[in-house]
Amino acid sequence: MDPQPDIPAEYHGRPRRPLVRKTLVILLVLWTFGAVRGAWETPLIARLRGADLLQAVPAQETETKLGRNAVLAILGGMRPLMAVYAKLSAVDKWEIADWDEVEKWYGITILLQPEDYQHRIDLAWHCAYNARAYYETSQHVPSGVDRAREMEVWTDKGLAYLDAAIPEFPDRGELLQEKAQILERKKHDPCAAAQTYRLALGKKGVLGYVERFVGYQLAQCPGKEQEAYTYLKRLYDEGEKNHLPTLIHEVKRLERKLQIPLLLRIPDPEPDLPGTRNTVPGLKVP
Amino acid sequence: MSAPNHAPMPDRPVPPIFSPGRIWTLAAATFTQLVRMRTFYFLLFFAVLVFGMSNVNLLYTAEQQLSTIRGTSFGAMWLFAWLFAVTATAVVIPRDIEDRTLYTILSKPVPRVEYLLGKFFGVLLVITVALGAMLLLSGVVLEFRKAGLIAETRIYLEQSPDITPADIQGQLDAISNEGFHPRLFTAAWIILLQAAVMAAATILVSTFASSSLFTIIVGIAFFLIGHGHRIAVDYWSEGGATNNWLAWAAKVVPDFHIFNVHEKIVAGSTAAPFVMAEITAYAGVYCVVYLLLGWYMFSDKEF
Repeated sequence: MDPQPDIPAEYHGRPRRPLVRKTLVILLVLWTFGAVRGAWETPLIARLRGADLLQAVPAQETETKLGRNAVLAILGGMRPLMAVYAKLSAVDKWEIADWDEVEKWYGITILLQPEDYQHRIDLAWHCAYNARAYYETSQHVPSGVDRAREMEVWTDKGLAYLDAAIPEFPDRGELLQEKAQILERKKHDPCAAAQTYRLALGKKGVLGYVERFVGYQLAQCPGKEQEAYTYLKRLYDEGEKNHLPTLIHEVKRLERKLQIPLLLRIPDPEPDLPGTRNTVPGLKVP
Repeated sequence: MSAPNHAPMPDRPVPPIFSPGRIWTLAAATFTQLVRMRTFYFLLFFAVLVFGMSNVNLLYTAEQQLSTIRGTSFGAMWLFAWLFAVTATAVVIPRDIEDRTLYTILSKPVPRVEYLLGKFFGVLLVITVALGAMLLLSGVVLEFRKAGLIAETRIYLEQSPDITPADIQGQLDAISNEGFHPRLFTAAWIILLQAAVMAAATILVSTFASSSLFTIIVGIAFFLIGHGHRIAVDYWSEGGATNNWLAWAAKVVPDFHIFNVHEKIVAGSTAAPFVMAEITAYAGVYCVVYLLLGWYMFSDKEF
């Protein structure tokens, strides 16, 4: 058997650089680069977070935060696609009135897109309106189920989801607006609704009509009639833009109730009101 | 010492040591090579996805519909960009070896660094063209859908006597803000930067890998670890030795967390020019380091 020829120390005039040695050199360079770049990366990440360009995961509890962080890290840009699937599943379960499943799939949607506050609003709406309405009217509810209790349970769930979300999005008014609507329409608590609408004022995503809603709810709150009248009259006096049917109706009702002198009353005739008050087209009311 | 069997031609021009023209030629050839692999068929999938999303209404508000189209479009762009950067880069060098094109190229006066740069820019060219096409398509769909939603919402809101014109305008402005916006170009740019870093890292791996499959697996693992290691280090921040070990190991892997900026830009945030410049420089430094290391590995590799 021929002996193996010696591998020359030099090959084509160049010293041999074995793969292992080169790999070690590369790892060493990468590690050194990693150590150096930390001085750039850490402040850069802090600046990007400060400029609202990097996701600061909204969550109160550490475990929730960790889970959301992990999802953010692992799925990255895939999250919107998966969130659509999760939401599709939630809607699918809604069609068969499987409310626990709706809750579960919305939970996954929120896990995938924790930055989208609208998912929290949708979940609260499903709980407080749809699930409640199901237990109120559906023929498919088993006879042993306490309908009234279930209605309250699901309404409270809706409110609880909003209460959990509001501190995570302190600058967004839509969550407070949704909570106020549930308090108004399902809990029939105009005092709390007025207070919650008031908290929403001035926040992002809150349109002008919410300012009037504060007054409308105050007008229904026992003991707050004078405050409501002052509030609504101020809006009325701001100009024609606020001379809307509901506002005129509420001001005239309060004028009668508070026995405001005729000369101080607004001149408008009693408007023809729509069937429901405080109903804004585009808001999801079943 | 024997004399050479042919004397150098005295008037023959000496090839330049570094030639952008040669790099461009190699990049263009790589582009053609990848296009022939039917790379752009992904655009069909993308088109179906975007048109599909524009017609799906999961109880969305008008703003949500538009932001969902945007989110899914950019999600697909992000997925395509980094995955393509890994797989295409992992394939191009072995394919050249298989086709024996590599020997032809390297037998010419083409420095190996130019060969690597040509491959790198060729892959980036394909990703840029594909991202441009996807951006255009999603922009058209977004604007088309936005116009429809604004018209529908206006008609709907105008039916209510309790809504002021200012409220209607506010609602329509909110919808309008969710349509196509020039800031989305910056989001696409960041996706491209991330893909460039991934392509450079994959070139580095492919210079010592024995197969494309190995390169793809390592590339994908590199990407996932790059996205998650900061979370892992934070999680075990009180883990003493574990934390030290993780933090030590994480220094070898890039931190892709920074490129997640594109998500917030797609969602509505705007990045200042100096921020974009810094992220571009950050990606550029990564690319230079990985390509230099790849060159070091490739410089005397025997085929």
